[in-house]
Amino acid sequence: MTYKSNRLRICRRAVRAISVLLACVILSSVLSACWSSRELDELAIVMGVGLDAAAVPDHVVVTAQIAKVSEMESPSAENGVSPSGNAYNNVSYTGESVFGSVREMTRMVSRRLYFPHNQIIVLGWDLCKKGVTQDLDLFMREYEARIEMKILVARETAREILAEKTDIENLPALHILDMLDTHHATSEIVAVTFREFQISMLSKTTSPVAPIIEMYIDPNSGQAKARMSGTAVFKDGKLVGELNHEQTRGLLWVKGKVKSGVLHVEAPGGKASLEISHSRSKVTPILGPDGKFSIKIQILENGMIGSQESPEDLSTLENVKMLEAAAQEAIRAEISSAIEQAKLLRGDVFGFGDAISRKYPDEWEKIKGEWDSVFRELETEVEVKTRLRSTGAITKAITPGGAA
Amino acid sequence: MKLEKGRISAIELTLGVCCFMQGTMLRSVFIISISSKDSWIIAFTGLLFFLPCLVIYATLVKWFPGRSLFEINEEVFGPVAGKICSLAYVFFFLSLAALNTMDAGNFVLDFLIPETPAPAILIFFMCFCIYTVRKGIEGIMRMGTLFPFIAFVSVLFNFMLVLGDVQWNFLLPMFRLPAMKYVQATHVVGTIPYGECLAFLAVAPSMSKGAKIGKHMFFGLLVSAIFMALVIVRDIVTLGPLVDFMSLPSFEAVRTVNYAGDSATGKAEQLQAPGLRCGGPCRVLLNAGFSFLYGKCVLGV
Repeated sequence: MTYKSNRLRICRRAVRAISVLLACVILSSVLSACWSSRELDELAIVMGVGLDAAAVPDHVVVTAQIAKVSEMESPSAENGVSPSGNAYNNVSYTGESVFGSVREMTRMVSRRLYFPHNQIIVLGWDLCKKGVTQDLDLFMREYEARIEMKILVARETAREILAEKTDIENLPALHILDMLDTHHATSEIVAVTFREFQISMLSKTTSPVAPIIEMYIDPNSGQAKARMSGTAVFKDGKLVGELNHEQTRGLLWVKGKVKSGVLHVEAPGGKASLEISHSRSKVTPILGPDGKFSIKIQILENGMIGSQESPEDLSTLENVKMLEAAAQEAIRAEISSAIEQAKLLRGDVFGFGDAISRKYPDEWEKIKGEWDSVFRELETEVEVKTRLRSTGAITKAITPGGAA
Repeated sequence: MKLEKGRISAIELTLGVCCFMQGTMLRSVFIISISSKDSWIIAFTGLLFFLPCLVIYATLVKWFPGRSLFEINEEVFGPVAGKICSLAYVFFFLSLAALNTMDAGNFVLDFLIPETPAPAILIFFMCFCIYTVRKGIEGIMRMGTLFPFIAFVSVLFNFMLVLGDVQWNFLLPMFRLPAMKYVQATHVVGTIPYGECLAFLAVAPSMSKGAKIGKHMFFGLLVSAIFMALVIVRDIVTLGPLVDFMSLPSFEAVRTVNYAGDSATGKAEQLQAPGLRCGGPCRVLLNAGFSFLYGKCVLGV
């Protein structure tokens, strides 16, 4: 019995040891690497995508900017060009659909296109005029695509924007992204993510907007460069017009997105530039006794004197009040200009319709069918409060012989 | 096979219910597709809808102390009808286990590792769950005490990260849908995530002496309802009307988080592995859910 039980125990231990060993072998064979692994040198990392209308009807030109990762960090890389060539490669294909074109590109690129790092999507002017709804479907549907990428409209074609010769960044896509990221300095560019654009697209009243980017000839280098130039306004998925820089900031005032910038105002004895340091806004729909809607826009702005061109002491209480009043007027003018332009384009870029539908859902049901005409007649009251909090590091302008 | 060897404390039951319910949050699209931006309230109306069932089953457990759901069936309905009734429960748990497995598989294959063959994922998923069940129901409940905290912290963390991009007015106007939509959504939530919790009544024989199963289950469900509402609110205020179009709103909401540091570009941009923030906890919770349902099926058979 003892011998038998010892043998049984030994057998059990052996089975257990073999089972553990087998489990280790199986696990090490399947856990050592991921089946879906993608090595960096096997991927074509897409950093920017451009969509243009093709010469052939119902076709679209898709341009993918692919980063050459090994050349991006090259210390001698200049103008996006390293000693061994460009830090990127633009690939274009004309197809019936964006999805089909992206797949067809694999015949032109030795690697699989990889979209999770994509930073921007640039839409050509002509394509926007025709309508972009269908062409953007892939970027919402595809698991790899990121909905936080920035969206822009090219004044001409997206293809030429992505072929820009850059000075600071290695890739045009990153250069454009940087320009959008620094938009707070002037608050004259509206930076819009793909998610925000699609949310506006879904709205029954709000018109989607996107920054416009255009090429210009740099007088210093003689090269074609990209720069931001106003805001594109869409309606029913099609480009209907644009807002200039002033109107763009008017839009941003209403949306409470002005975080910095400069206001040029008349000051005693000359001009002054006021720096915007903070702002916030409140949009309140009001239903009047006559059943008509109006919108009350309240803006609170804090700022400081950025520079002055007059010898006057602007830090006196009287002059500060005068500058605050001038700033209020400047802000009001920008907002009014934006509203006028939006009415002209019949595009509710501010989201007034959505604001009314949230506050007065029952009344909204009665007017939602004729929102375009209601919007054109919509009265707006703009109330601006400004506070000049500082004169900067000096209290008065330094003028020749100005010492006490 | 006797699976229920250990004793389960009241807190383990509460946290186990939380763990189980959190695993179902990947399927929030069931609710959102019906009740859209008002879906957060459905988390609570669904709980109210389920409460009478909970009271009935808790009373049964009280009347038949120390008996499992299947034993109660046999005692109440007799050996034949009881077995048929138990078979219906087994079918319910088995179909839910299959649904959980399919969800876990689809999620991993669609979003995380798309080129991996489905069997490679599902077989390992099930092997892990079977191993857990073999170790006893106590093991599953122990597992359930840790993961709810991880999931809760994960959701709070994600919510904080998306706060800069949220618009609270996406929740407005509230309660403007036809009443039938709320009824339908409440029924769906009451049946699928809350109804699945009936599986926990089978742990009654393993409960510590004196533990009130109904009370602790209710507390677990209440915490889960708050968690569910929090997740749905996060999804709605982040995605706005897009939430109605997403197949996995929670996953997409988390993908909007901007992280610094990207090895490919050297630029601040989005974290390229949202699975780390969302996928991991979800898979673990689904594992727990499947293990429990599978355990109940084995026990029933």
